[in-house]
Amino acid sequence: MKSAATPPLDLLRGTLDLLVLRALSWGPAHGYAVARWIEQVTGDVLSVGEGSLYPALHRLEERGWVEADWGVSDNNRRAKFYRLTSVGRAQLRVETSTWTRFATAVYAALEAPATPAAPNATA
Amino acid sequence: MGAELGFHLEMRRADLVARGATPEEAGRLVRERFGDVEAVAAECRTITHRRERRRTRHEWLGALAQDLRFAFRTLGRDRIPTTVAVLTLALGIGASTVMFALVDGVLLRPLPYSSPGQLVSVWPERGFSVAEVTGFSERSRTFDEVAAYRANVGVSLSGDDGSGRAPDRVESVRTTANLFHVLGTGAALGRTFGGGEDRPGSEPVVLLSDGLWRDRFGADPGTVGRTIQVDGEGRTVVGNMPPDFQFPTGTARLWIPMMMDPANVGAFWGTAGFRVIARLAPGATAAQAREELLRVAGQLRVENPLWTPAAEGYLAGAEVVPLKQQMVGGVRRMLLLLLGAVGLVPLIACVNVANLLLARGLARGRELAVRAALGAGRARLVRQLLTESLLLALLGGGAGVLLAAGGLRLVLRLLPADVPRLGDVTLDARVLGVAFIATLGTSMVFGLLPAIRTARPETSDALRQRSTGGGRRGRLQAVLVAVEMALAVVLVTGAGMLLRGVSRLQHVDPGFATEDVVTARLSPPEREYQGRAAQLGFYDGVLERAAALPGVETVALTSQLPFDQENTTWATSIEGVTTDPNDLPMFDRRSVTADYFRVLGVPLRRGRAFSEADVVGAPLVAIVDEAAARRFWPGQDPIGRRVGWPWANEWRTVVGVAATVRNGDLVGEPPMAVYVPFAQAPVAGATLVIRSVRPPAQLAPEFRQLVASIGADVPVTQVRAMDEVVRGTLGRERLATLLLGAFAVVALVLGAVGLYGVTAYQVGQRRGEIGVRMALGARASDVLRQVLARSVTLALAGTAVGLVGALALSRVLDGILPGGGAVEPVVLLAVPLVLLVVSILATLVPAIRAASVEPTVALSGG
Repeated sequence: MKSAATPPLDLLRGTLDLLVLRALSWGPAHGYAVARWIEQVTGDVLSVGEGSLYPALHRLEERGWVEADWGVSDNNRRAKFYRLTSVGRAQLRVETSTWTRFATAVYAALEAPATPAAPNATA
Repeated sequence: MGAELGFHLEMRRADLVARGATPEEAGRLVRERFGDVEAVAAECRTITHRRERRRTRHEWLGALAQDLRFAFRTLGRDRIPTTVAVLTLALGIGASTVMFALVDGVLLRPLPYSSPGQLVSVWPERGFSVAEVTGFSERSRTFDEVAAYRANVGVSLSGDDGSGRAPDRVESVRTTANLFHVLGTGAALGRTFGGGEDRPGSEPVVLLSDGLWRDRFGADPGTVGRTIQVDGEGRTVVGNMPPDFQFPTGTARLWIPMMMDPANVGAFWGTAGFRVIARLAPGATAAQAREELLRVAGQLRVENPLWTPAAEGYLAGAEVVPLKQQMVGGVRRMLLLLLGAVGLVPLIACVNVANLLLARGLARGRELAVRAALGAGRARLVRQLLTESLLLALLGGGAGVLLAAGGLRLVLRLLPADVPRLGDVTLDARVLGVAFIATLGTSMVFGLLPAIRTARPETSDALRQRSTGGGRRGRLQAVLVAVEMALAVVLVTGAGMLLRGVSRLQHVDPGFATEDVVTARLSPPEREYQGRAAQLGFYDGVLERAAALPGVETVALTSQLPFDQENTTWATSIEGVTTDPNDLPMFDRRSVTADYFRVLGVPLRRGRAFSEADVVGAPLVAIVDEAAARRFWPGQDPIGRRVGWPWANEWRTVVGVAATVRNGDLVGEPPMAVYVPFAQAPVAGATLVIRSVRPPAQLAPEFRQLVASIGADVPVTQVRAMDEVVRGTLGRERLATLLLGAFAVVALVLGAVGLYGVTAYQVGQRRGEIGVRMALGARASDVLRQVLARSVTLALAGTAVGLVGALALSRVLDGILPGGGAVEPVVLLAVPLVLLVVSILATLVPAIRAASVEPTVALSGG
């Protein structure tokens, strides 16, 4: 798969769950709505490999963080709606704080001045 | 799955089209964005499946937990029936676990020697001579290695062996030096025999059992290498065996190399009685070994320099059997019978618990009907009921295993020590595993039928009506109780037959008086008391001083005590009667002192007893018994005839005829007996018989002291009442009777409990009906009689079936005790009587309760 090697997706793997949980935190939504939200707020990081959203949703369901039910969409079609459980909501809080701390640290590292002797400098 | 992804793809395309893409462009873009649809769908499916499986398991566990909680509540509510059921099961499982542990240890487990499958035992009844053993060892190719032994050889350990203990007489085994190599067992400390210790000129050595090493030498590692006195001969201890080593039985305390010296023609060719065990060569079968054995024996028969045994009959019964079969053959039947008998006890327990559950199921009909009406499927109800049985079984099984642990210790203590392989009997994982499986099995047996019955959703009926307790369910319970009674009858009858058999044997008159006779074995070490003068000097002193002990009337001496296990028989010539020196009649021969017949109360039919005058130098005399007199001199006077042992150049004139007595056992024809004066044929080890009004326990200390003052290194052992000696020969039979009797009582009690339970339940269910009949004029006695009649009928029906089963058992009992399976009228009468009484007792309480039902019950609706 050409898409599998695309950098944004690799980066996303770990954080896709977090994005999905966040997307559902405003209320029940079907998969496409989640995809649209991610597309809008992230400047379309999922432009390639959008399908990986679904295994993520199923895994979250397996862990009991989201629940799914079939319902009717805005345009009157049958669609599967996902909803955060209370466990999922708690998980969202935990992951948000973890991610924020991690991102801050990485950002700080990137902004830091260069050090003269890195261990593998000769290589 | 497809629907969800399809919805996504379609929505995306619609969006793209709405933003101005052409349909073709949109289709391509959608696929590009989404990635591999099939792969995503597959991944989603996998996750979903995994989740479903987990949920199913989770639900199942949840339901199980629910069932268990519910079962605990239900069982806790009916505390008395639950307790009865658990105890019933505990008895059943406990008893069968004990028996299985025994059978497993003794019969099933491989022998604790290396490659035990190749070990065989060779035996004609008489055993082999040293020459035969050597011949087999040198000439046969089907055997890898041949060893021989003679078990149960009493030896004296004297006091000056460094142990500081009193002289003792213990059981030893004479063996070829390669025995331990054949068995493949090493010593715990020191070494076993190396292989040459049975050759002439080798240093005398001895190997100790763990028991002897601990008891006599205080488990001192320094014992190895020390010299100890065995039968007055110094022997170097080369090692001691591990605690679990037994050969051939647990009573063997030490092993001594036998002498294999072809130069000593008499001992080499003339001494029979050695048992042979051998290791088969790879690929050889027992049948081939037997064939070769007979061929080699044929050569040896001709080479025998002493005598030429008749060709036919020589080794005719020779057999090569697996060692295990030979070792445990004697107790096999008894153990299997007991195991079978005990197998009935858990069955009865199952029937009992099944009945209990059935009764409870009837009582719970409404509850279950309500649950069924609320949507519980039949399978779910069966499962709930089975969970209850399983829980019952586990509680019962747990209690049963505890019971078995105690019971096994008791049984091991009761079993005679000569039962082979008792050291291999333990309550280990293997036995516990079987007990566990038995527990699960029983829960299925007793639980399934009631569960299916009870869960049959006759919903509307059960909801509408009161149960009347009649109909098919009542019949099933009745049949089960009858079955229970039948099983109990089989056991009670079997125990009854054995009991009669043993008591018949106990009342067999041995032909001599056993009351007020005390016996004591004296074993002067043969080295120190060699020769006539030394032996007679010692015994004269003992006889004289023992006669002076308070309470002692008469004292005598015999070379062999009647009913002692060490008895041997002698081939004896009868002058003018026997002609073929290779076919002589066998006699029990005893050297006895003058008062022997008086002490044991054996009447003399003709002639005289021995006297002080029958000493060395005086004419050689003998006394024969009536059986011999009748056989060899029918219608003539035996006095003055001669009997003899020609190879010893010994002829004796018969001076008296004694009454025939049983000298060996209580069953069958006693062998003929000949008595010779002790003074003319003394032996080193002999047994004192003392007619005394004082019991052995009182006499023993004084007697030991007396012997010690004459010969400090002479062991005094087996100070017993003669009663005990005779009764002791029935130990195994009595134990079988005791165990079977115990199981029978357990079975009977369980049967009675079952009968009580069913009757009580039925009376409870029929209160309304009984009330109506009372109101219509029935008297209390009528009701009482009717309830009793019903249970007595059940019990007697079971008895009839059980007696038929017991007849089948009687043949097996014959194998344990000759005549033990005899069907005696007294047993056939007593058993139904016992059952009648038991059934009435078991029913009395509920019957009285039924008879005291008030007619008004009919109105109030019971």
